[in-house]
Amino acid sequence: MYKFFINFCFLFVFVFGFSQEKKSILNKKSEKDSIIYTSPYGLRVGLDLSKPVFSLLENGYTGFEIVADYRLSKRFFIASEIGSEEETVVEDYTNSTAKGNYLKLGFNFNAYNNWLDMNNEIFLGMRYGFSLFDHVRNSYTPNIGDFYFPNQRINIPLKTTNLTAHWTEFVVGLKAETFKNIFVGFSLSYKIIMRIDDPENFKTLYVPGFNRVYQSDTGFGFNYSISYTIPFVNK
Amino acid sequence: MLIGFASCEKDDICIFNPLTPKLVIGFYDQDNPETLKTVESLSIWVEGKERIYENASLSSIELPLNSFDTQTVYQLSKGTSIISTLTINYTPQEDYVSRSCGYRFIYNDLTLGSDASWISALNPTNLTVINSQTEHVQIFH
Repeated sequence: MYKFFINFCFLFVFVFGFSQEKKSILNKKSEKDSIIYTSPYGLRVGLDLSKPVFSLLENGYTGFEIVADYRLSKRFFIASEIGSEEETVVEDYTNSTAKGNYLKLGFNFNAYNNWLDMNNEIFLGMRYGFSLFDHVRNSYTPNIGDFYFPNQRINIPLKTTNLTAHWTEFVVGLKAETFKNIFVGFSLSYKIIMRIDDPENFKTLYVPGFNRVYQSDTGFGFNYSISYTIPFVNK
Repeated sequence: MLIGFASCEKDDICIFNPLTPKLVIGFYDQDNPETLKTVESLSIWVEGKERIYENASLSSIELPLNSFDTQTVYQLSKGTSIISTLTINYTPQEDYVSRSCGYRFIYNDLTLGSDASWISALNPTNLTVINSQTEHVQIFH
């Protein structure tokens, strides 16, 4: 019922937006109503392939992410990512590991006008992101800045559990239907921290799902996914 | 845009060196405690280590403290033969600065002692060493 209502609203907006072409659209429809192109509506689920690949290539990183979206209307999709990441951050004076799970929820807007029965997307999106993670300071070397007294590396791990982070994410990407109902997608995201927990006398340098936290509390991410649409209905 | 760029730079390169502060000592006239008085041919070292200052004429010095101990003992000589021992006690505290700079040390609860040689009196003016810009100790001679 909701879906119908939202669809109806959207149709209304669409007709308004292209009001000068209204007449021709109507004409076309009435002329050749024997051919109607439909596209599938349903739940699309997939996997971010970049994370397992980086897990193999990059030392100190493991990650896994499931992506999903659900088509609401011609252009709007509810989109979500859920995953788990572990990253060891090696800096000049500190070595720390962040490990945890995350959930992102939001929407995508498909700005691409498909030809005929094609089903591709160039989309813009927004997400709310949440992560629950543990942080371990593995070792550190104090920055003494003077060599008169010997310096030493301190290897006593310090663990802080149940840290949280909340952020907003802006996404831009594309999805191409390569085989029937199978999509390959690529997206880039820019993220802004809303709230983040830091361990005592330290800083969270990496958040699962967010990636590296820059000093301005922003971050970047990308995603390379392959997904399959479970078609519920064709419209 | 500019702020974003600047903060990224800050994030990658530690620009706050030296990060861990040194103990700043000023030498004052024992007869006229308000005025600085230069120490002639001053040498400073820790027993068994090389000299930090050698045969210098200075009214203000900066000394590093041993961060992995609660005490640093310096030998201060004026001229060739008169040696005074300066004992500095403190509580080191790790202080996180940033991704690129890591941790520095600051020193709390500063207390000082010296054997009476050419040093007539000590006056700690700052009990916490958090930067090298302010003077922490006055030495009268």
